[in-house]
Amino acid sequence: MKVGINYAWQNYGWDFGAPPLRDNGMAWGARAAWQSSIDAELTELARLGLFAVRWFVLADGLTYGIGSQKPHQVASAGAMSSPAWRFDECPSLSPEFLADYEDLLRRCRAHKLQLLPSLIDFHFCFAGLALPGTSSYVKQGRSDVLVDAGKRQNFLDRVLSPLLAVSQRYRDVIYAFELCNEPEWCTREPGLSWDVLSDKKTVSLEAMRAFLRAGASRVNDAGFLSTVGFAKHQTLREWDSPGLSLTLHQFHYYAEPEILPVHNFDPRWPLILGEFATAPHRPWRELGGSQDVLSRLRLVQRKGYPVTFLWSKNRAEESAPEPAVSWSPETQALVARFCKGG
Amino acid sequence: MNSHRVTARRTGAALLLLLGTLSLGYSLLGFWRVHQLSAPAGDSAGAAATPEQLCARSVPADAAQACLALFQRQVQAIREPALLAFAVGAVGTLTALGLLGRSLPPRVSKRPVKTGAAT
Repeated sequence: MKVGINYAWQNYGWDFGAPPLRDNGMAWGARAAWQSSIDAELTELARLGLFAVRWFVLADGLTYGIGSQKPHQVASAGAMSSPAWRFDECPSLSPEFLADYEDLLRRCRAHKLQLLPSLIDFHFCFAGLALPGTSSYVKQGRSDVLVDAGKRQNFLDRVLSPLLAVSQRYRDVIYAFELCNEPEWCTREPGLSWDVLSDKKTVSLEAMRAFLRAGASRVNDAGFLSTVGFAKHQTLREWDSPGLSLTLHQFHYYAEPEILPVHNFDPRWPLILGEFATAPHRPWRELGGSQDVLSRLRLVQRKGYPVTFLWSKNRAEESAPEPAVSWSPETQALVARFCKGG
Repeated sequence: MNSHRVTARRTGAALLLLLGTLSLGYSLLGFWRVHQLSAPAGDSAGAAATPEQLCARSVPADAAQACLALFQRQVQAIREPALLAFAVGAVGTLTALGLLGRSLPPRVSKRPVKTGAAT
């Protein structure tokens, strides 16, 4: 089994292209700040025996559509109605954005590591979060990209296709191209439910499936494996992952269901485990009281998965209330032991 | 009490009960919205982030604080009318139930009345 790792960002939503600017003109930080440390980091990941990194490209969309193009709120029908966020234009990616993305591909190639770019995170579609003092930028609030058929088309033309065009110059570097991370969290299931009042469930299942299917078709046509990082194993069946034209199926596992499902997909279009916790997080029932990243990797391998990605190397997430991340030297040693056949 | 006054009282009480119930329903919806706004989206590593974490993720500290303050004002704008609606609904419903209770005819006991000692 090959093991990769979720990088998954250095600066969530502004890893590529110009950084956000405060109203006084000061930048939040350096453009593509990962560039200063990435060579050392990739060297280390390759030394551990990892084969690929998964990276969130647009994330919540923070720098995609700014100033007059940023998402904006329209008056809601009443206090109980979810505020509606509109994203009127789907701008093209800047040359700087594409240059930074290409630089990442170049560096991955130099270190003989593959890349699994994840185009958007589910936060992209949540209700917008304004940033006072940085008023040209809004986090999230871009569900129109998926909901409106015309905007969806523009987004695929102006964002996905240029990224694929750059990627084609690094065909050996791209492991697969992911359209969305955990789309379930922003998708309304059909039928009567509380979801209609939610600020988070902003996209109908029909619209989400249309976006994923159209995106997968473009990724496939560009000659890459297409994937979606589903949060739950059951979504593969409920949303008909093969019917979306995806060629690499993926789900994430955080001890739900209690028993890790066995890999039973056709090896030509396999199923991979795109995320699991490197920290103790929630215990996996099958592994009993004493478990670590090594025992988890061994179980995933026994279940027949050809590839898995660790969550994650972003140590800032280790301070979360219920951390799923542990990228300590001890964890790294266990990962290296597995990758080297131990 | 004449029957006209009883009918008027019952109609008023029924309307009050309807309004109270609607207010309680409105307040429950408001509390649910506050809950879903503040709660994490799901239970995966990425979805478990709270609004505090979302505002702070790769955002400078001052901008993160401003983002969170704005979010909290949005929550407050839902919570306050919900609390008011809850108070109005509770008072209205209880008053209506009291009025309805008083306008009912006195209950007739089905127990046999003892008329004297057994012979």
